[in-house]
Amino acid sequence: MNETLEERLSMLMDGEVTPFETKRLVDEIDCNPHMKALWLRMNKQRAALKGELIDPALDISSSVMIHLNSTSQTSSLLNTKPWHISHFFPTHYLKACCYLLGFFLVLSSPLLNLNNFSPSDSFSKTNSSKTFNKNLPSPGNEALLVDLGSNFNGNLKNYRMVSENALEANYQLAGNEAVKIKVFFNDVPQREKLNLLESGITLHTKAGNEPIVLNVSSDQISNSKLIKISNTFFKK
Amino acid sequence: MDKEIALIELVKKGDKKAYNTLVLKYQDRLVFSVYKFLKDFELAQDIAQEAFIKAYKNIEKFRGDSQFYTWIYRIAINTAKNVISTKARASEVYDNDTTDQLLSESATTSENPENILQAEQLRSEINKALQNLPEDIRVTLSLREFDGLSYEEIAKVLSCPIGTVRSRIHKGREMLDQTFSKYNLSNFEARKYE
Repeated sequence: MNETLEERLSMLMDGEVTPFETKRLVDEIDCNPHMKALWLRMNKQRAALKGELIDPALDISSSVMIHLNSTSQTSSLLNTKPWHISHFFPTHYLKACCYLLGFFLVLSSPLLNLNNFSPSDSFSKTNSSKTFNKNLPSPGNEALLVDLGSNFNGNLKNYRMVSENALEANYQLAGNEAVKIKVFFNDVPQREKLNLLESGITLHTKAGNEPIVLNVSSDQISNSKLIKISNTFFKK
Repeated sequence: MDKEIALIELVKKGDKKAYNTLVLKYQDRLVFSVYKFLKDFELAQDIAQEAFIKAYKNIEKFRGDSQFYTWIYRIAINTAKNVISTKARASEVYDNDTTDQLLSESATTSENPENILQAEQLRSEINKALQNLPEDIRVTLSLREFDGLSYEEIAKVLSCPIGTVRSRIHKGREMLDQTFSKYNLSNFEARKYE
């Protein structure tokens, strides 16, 4: 067995390696960017040979893996034993507290001007001005999206949720320049962030309405354009 | 028997890296198949993504008596049909042939993104490069890629050791990769933003 790693990768494509070897190569593809790029190219090459290559830049693997990772995190959280407040306080005591709180809210509503509060108003305005594809973000994320739109002088064209905690937004800047931005609502592992950088800009946000630009860098976009984009963000 | 069985077994044990390897391997083929069906590139990507997610969640049901690709292809096409049916319901057209009608409609409203043209160019370059490979390498690689023969079968057909088959196939792919690298995938990506 004196094949090079690249040769073994070629054998993996053809299903000609042992299970042990398969495991080693999978780990290699995962941790070695050179091997991952080679694996991607080899498979695109095969698709091209068979006339099945539709877009050389296509790579949906990051989105798939982010979705799977976020789903497993959610399910593991759901599997944990739920904490229940009634473990600490008797139910009749909690009921009494709820009644008191309700009573207080009813009495204080004229003072707090609660009647004017209508959560649906702000969202209906937003919905009418934009085209939504599917999976509407939660209210917090929606507000964030509006914020991003105003940072780009309202040039948000459209967006789509690529996973539970990330969306992809398309902007049309002045001069007819199109920019695609990936926005993460929660923390994602550094490795995922770097993967996604390959296809554009990564904008990392805090939970809440204030966006924070962590990475405005990309292998595919010129520095001048990146500077322009970051300036647009900080103009506000 | 699926040749991917070792990878699938890893996935069944919860190895997501192994699944990523499979996604990277089949994504182009699957998106292409769905695109042929729907003629909508963006939708084809979404459906392929959905199919990969569904396949992962149901991987225990994959018994390995068919190819992994055949299995995931079925999932993707069923997902595509569901999307079409949902569209049909949403448009409140209660015709029996609605699904077929919508399929033919989407077939005529092809999006044809710029990258599809570049892919066409790349496909033709790769095929040219294949024709220019040394004969022994070209024949060996063609038996693998187009006739789907295993290394052992190729060795029997060409009366040569299996090690020679391995190295010829690898060499062929390396040479084709030079053509591929000229087209540099990142260039395609960059053009999207310029």
